[in-house]
Amino acid sequence: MEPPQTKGTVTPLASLFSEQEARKAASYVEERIREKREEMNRLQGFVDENDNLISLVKKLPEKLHHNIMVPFGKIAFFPGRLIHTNECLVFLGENYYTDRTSKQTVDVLRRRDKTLQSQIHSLKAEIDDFQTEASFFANTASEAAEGVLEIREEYEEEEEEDSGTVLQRGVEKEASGVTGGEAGEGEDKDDEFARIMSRLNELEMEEEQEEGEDGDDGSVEERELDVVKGLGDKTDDNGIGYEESVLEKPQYLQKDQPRGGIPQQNAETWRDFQATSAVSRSKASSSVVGPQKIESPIQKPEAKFDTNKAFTGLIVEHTHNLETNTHGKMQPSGSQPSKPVSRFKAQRR
Amino acid sequence: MSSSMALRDLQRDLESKANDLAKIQKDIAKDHQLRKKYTIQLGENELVLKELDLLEEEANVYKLIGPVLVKQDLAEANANVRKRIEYISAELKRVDASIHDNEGQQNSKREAMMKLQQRLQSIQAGKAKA
Repeated sequence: MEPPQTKGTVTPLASLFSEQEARKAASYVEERIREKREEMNRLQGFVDENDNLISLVKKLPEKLHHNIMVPFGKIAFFPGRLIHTNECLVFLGENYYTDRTSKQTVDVLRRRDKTLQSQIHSLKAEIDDFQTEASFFANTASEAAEGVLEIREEYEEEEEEDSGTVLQRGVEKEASGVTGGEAGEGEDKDDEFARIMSRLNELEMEEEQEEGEDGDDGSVEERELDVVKGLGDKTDDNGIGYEESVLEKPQYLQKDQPRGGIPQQNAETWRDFQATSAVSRSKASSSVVGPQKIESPIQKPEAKFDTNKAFTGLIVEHTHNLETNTHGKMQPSGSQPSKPVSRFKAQRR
Repeated sequence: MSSSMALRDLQRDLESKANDLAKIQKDIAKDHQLRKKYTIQLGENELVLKELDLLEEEANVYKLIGPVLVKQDLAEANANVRKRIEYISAELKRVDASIHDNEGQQNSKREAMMKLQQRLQSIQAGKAKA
């Protein structure tokens, strides 16, 4: 826990999200999970009943009549005989009934079973969702308890160093408050896209260069490729530095590499493409450099925008992929109750 | 003296706004329940319709009216169920619109309340200093 330096701050995670709050959220989600589990048990009960009924209805027409005990009121039974064993009066719902044979009845029941199963399936998915959510909250809580730190650092360093005086900082605070807020949501996706595009272009360009060296025919194409190379060199220092500091070489980009066998006759179009994309790429990388690291696993970087820092994003230790994932889908499902599952009134049949 | 009057006015305003908000929230909860009910009914009716569609022409269809089963024409039953589904869908749409409306109102009310509260607090703080 070193003291905050001139550039960048170190905030304990616990000050952003208190442990109790996180625990409360976790227990709330646990409660929801329990509700859903109950619901699922109920549905499972229907399914079991339905299965029993199916086997009964299948068995009935095996004999012409069955000797049974007929319930008479709540307490009494008397012996009786079940005849017309192949005829069932099936309740369809909404007070509609119909005469069916045993076989048709079984079909109806099977269809019911299908709807029930699909409902159970969706419920299971919901429960899974809630569970990831709950584990995310629990993680946050334990991280807050452990005293995990959130480290933020200035993006525009030069400017920050220049503006040493308190007055200028005050001005900057206001400015960054505004721009940071805007940048938070809207540009996030664009940045991401630009980042991926620039990386792709880089890879393609490297392959292009290799190809150019391989195919040493001394043709016009080679010269064109040299132009491309020049472009690549120009932007490379920018791009590489950016790659090392920012991009942690995600796996999904690696697999684009072998895609390279670009036919020579396409080189011209490729060059055009890259000439344009190189520009956009340098633009993108310069605009992206600082803030991009840093998809924070915690929910709201916006919460801190009112501090006197430019929008920098967050670096937090102990991050897992899981958390970033849950972060995405958590907000909607947490704030908004899930839709009521229409349920089939199987008990009424 | 005038400031305390203003304060009281503000408080009264805030109270009435809070009441309004509670009312709206109650409406929303009611609508949500209604919506749930209709969704369930819609699902049931759709199941019935599916089954009726699968029945052959000459099948006997009955409707339970009170304690008795009344025999019905298959076509008639089919038409009835369809009409019912239409009605429920319309109701669902209506309820959804009303929920949407109320939520918008709720948000605006909430904002107004926040503003009022801020003003109240600033006034109180000023008073405490004076």
